Amino acid sequence: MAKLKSVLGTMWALTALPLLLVMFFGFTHWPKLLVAATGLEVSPWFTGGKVVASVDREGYAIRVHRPVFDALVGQRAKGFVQIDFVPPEGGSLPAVVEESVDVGGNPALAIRVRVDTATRTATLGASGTHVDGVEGVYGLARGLGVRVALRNPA
Amino acid sequence: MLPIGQLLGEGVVVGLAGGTGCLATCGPVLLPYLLAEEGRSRWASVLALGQLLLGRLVGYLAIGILAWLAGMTVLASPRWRAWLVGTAYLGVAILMVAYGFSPAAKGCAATPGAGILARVRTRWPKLLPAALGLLTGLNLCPPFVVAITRAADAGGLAGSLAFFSAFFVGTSVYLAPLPLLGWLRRPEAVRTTARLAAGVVGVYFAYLGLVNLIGGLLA
Amino acid sequence: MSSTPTTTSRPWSPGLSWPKTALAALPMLLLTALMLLGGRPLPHDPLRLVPLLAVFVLSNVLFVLMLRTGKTDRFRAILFVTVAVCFVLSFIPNLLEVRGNIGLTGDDLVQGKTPFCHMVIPMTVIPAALTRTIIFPGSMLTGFAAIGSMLVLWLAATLALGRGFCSWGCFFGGLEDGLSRVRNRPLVKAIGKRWTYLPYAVLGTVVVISALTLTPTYCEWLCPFKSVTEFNALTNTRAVAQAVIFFSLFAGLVVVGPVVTRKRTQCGLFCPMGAFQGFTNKLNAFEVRVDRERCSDCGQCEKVCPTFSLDRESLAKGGTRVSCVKCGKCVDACPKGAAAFHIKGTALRPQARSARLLFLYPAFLFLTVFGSGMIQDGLYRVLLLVTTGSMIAH
Ligand code: SF4
Ligand code: SF4
Repeated sequence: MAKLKSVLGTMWALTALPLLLVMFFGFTHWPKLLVAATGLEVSPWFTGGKVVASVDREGYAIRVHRPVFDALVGQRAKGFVQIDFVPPEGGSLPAVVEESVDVGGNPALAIRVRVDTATRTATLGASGTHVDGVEGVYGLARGLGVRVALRNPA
Repeated sequence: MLPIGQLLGEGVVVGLAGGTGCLATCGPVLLPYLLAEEGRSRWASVLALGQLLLGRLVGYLAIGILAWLAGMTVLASPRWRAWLVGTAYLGVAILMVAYGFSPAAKGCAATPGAGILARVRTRWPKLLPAALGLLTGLNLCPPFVVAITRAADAGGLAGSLAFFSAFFVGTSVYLAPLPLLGWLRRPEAVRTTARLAAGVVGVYFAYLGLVNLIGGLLA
Repeated sequence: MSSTPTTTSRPWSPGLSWPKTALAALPMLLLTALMLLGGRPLPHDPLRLVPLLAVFVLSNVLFVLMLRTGKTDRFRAILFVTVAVCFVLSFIPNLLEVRGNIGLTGDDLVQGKTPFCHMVIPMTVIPAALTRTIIFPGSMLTGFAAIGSMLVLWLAATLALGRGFCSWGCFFGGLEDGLSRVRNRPLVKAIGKRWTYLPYAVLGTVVVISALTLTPTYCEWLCPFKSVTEFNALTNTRAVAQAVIFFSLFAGLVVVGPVVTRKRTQCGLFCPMGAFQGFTNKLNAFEVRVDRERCSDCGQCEKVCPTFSLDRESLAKGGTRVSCVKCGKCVDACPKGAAAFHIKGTALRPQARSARLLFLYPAFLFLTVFGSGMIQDGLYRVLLLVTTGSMIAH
């Protein structure tokens, strides 16, 4: 038994160096494999969640993310939805954009928003009963993202 | 009224979240009663635990009724609610920090009740765990503050009771393994860590208390 | 007591003779050459070339000295502290170059531009298991210190070294390690043992709160190292409060604490990542043991241990507490040669030297390769400052 333990311990110790070498040499590869194998992604509370609808307008496009109510288990009572306003490649957004946005077809979450792109401010017009206000306007790699606070209708 | 399903779910989650607090504040007090003593079978420890849990459930349900009453009265105004919750959090935070970081302080409600407990112990020794459970169940400990305000929102007696039953389930997850601690190799380390954790959580509750008080001022 | 043949006058010194040292250093020379210089053409810019060669030479000289003298911590610390200092020197100019600011803005958070570090890992475990998401405003695969890359590095280092990561990898630990050596004698000697459990309490608390709020609580509120990296732009009271906490913890635990106690106070009394990493020591093949037959209970090892990992109780059992960072300071300090690196499951005395070598290869290689980028960039920034008057390349 002592012998076996000793052999196993030494073998385990011997793997340490090769393990690190394999990690370093394949370093461009392993992170991708890890992410693909586990399906891990960054929390929607930071990314805004997946884009579920895109609409092209003259001079810009809007992308609506899925509403985020994610909790550790189940859903939270409060959350937000992110709406991106994207200018054409190389262009810029109009000074003011005003949009009616449908969130998952739920009238309680319907949003009327007006964005002043120069001052980076947004105001809500007549919106659904579960729409709480503008949470923030953020600069994206291209365009602006407006986060609107919501109460969970579910 | 909020749907019962949602209340049950939330109750479990709040219980799971706050259960570490239960463990930290009451664990060390309950532990000596629960650990398999010499001459006491494992089975007896488990029975004692059962009694303890039952006692806690009764205590929680009583609080559930109080929360429902509070929800209809004092907690109805947002400003009052923020102030009450804020003060409760701060009070509890001070207790927890004192308990967590000073080796002398006692934190669990069952400790001041030692007098009552001593009487129970002499008159009805078999009921001691249940009495302990009831006392810890009536304890104004931090997870409780959260639970009360949430249950007050439930909008009905049934909802409030449902929430507290679920809260009970969530917190029990932490207390149930206590009798097993006797088999742990380093119970002292676990106890010290749990106690310090109460102090750290206390700091967090102090923060929540302040946020609520400031929120109340601005409301 | 039996005597064993050794190369130096002290019993059980793990030092090697010169020929053996040369032989044992050769693999490291080749590996570091391959990893640092191999594959790519050497940079033409002298400001990049000099740091690269400097890391290569410095690390190999240190490794040779480690082998020859048998002292581990003495030479490890030089490289470890250099990495930490260079990390700070390189991190801030790097952010300015890549992102244009040090203060994190809402835009940076939404765009996932925050570099990920190992400190976050314990907080991400429960949410990752239950929601398959990482609760950190970074990017999984792109940009500087992407989440996926840091996870891979950490995973491999943990399997290979356990909590050895904290003295052979963590670029924050080096700051304290360096500062704990500033004074020759500690001003404060007695720290109650109960405080050494605080990291576990902080760990438990931040893990639970992070899981419930789905935000990395420790990064938001408690990390002392934010002071030397980045924190939320000071645009509201909350951010100011956070910055005050970061700076106070940094001053207390990373600067004053180590200087007055000669201990790594942040690592030993606060860091939740360290506490978490301690559990991985259980899975790791390497440990530090104390040979009870040789130990004279002089307490020297206990005195020098920077992380409170040795006490009377653990010594009586012939080992360290779970918090050991495998720095080797106790091994260096033990006058009887009783403290030694050891491979679990093997007999203690006869293999003291081979166990040390088997540990040193992966540990030193990790420190060199993982730290080389930071040292190079740090030195590059210094050279840039000297030659152009700015640490940022335009
Ligand atoms: S204890 Fe924390 S700061 Fe110290 S070395 Fe380990 S991870 Fe780094
Ligand atoms: S026990 Fe020894 S090797 Fe471990 S941390 Fe302390 S001094 Fe370093």
